[in-house]
Amino acid sequence: MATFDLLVNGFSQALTPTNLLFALIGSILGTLVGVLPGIGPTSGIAILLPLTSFLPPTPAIIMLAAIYYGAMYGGSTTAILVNIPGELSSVVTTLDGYQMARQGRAGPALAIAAISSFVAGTMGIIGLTFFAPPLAEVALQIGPPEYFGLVILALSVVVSLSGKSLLKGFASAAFGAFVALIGIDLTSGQKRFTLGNTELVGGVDFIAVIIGLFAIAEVLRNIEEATPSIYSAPLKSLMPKLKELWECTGAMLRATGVGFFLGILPGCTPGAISFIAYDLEKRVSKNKDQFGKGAIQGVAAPEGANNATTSGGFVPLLALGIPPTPALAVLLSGFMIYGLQPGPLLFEKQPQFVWAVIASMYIGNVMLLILNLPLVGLWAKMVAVPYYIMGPMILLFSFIGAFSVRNNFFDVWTALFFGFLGYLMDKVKVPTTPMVLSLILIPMLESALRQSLSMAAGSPVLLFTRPLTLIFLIAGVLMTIFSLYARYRKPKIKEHLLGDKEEAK
Amino acid sequence: MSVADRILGIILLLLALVCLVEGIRVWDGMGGTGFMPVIMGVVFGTLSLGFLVSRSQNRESPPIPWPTKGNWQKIGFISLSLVLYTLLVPWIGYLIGTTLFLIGLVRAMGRVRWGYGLIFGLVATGFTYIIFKIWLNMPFPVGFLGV
Repeated sequence: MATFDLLVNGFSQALTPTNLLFALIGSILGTLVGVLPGIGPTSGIAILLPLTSFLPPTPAIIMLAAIYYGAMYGGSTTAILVNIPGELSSVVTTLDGYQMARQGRAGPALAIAAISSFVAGTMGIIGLTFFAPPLAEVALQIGPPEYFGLVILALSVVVSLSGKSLLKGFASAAFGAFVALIGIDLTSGQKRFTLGNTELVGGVDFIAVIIGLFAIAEVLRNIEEATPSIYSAPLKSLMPKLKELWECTGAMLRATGVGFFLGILPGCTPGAISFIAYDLEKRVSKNKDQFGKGAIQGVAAPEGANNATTSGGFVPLLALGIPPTPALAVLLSGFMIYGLQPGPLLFEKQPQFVWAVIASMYIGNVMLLILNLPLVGLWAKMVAVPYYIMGPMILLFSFIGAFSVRNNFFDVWTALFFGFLGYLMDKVKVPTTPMVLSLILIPMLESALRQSLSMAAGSPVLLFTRPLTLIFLIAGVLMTIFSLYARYRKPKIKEHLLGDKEEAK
Repeated sequence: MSVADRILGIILLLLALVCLVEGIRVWDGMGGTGFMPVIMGVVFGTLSLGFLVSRSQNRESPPIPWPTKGNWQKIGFISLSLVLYTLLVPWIGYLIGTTLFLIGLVRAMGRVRWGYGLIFGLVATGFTYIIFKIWLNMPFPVGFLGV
């Protein structure tokens, strides 16, 4: 009960007017950071960090933490409405969220994104509250070989993201891997595929790739189809039906589990985790054929997962002082500014501070739900804006978003290149999502493989002898085999996976 | 096998060669810098074979839904605008470049009046300038006029 008492104490701190005010400001700014395509939680926290210097540590960290989890709420808005993922973690949300918007169901999509974010975020904080120290210890036991297994497991998702042609899905994933390899190899310092170009030495940034593949390519498609607006008929209901909410309960719970536990692991980004949650949901769903066409669970799962990931990420940060994501690394520097060293001693020496921050996260999630749900109607109306206004604005925001990555034009050119490539890929029916997945996962895979090999003096033995690694690898192989079997052997499952009755014959 | 599949196969084969050459160039042992490029070379090679020797050659591939002539012109104009904007904005600056870009796009997409296009261009440019340049301090290009 000691934890519960400390939490109650934390609430008494977090509920003071000053702390409430800064949790609210952080939530609003976080939502804005998520909505704006040119700025992510990492840069958002970094920009606002100096502004908090006039504050005492508790409200300052409360505000910065709220920006982080608030960005996850906001990231889904543009993903659903205009097919621009505000954050990397919202890439998967575009698959079904944008389709829902095109069917006049932007309201329910936005609402379920907010509700799922709230449910998973809050459950994640419960996990953080009661299990932070033991879970952090477990996370530390997971080494490079386990990461290698985990990435292989995540890569098995490519099969189910491949659409009708497995070969084209794999080609897309392979091209993503190739793009991920461009640039300087941080271990050896050698340049790969840079063709003597200094801009390529820094690598191809995935934000620019995503902006191109999703936003620019989508505008080109809509121009071709002479789309009057994303959805022109009167909007259907703004909120999901009770039945839909009930159907999403499982998705939210599974997304919480996946997001929270993988979020604890350093290096597992919300972007990769949301893919895993989406794939899991597609596999367990009875309506697999609806995924990619506007399945509400296809929005609930990734949005829940990325919020649970943010809560999970605080476990190693607070309990061990290890930031698992770049955004939390910037937040860690915020702790440092105030002379606070996250880790086991922080819970002992600064219990009031730690528990006030944790309690504020419960409050912040409620605030974000209250902020986001009434805005659903307003945002949803955006889909009716004429496309001759929306299209140029999407292109302008794409330009700003790509430019903001490193404040250079190379990333803008990258976004343009991938925009045209995405348009062509759509024409020849090559799916773009596997490319994004491997672009995220291949650097993790390479790094885990190298570390594992160096741990065993160059021998790959560790990759096949550690129990957890083996479990992940076997699960990855089994999932791939099941997906392939479903595609080519069982017409009924194939029909579900492909979503096309004709193909299944 | 469709023409698109054949072209994809050839592109993948070229990528395989690029990866293998680069992998061998930077090879420094198992799991080193060249390891992943070599692996990718093998993967691309296998995939290219899949496309070039695909069983689907007996099946009729659906035609690629290319745009009509009118749509090609529209897409061409938008694409050219994007390229020109990216090329010219460092020279003419964000404010002027973006206003002109938006006026051009809104007129091409919606065939709206010049006045409407001008107001839209000015308002949208001003709005993004306030948020990103003034508030978030993003270093937009200023161009030869210094704005």
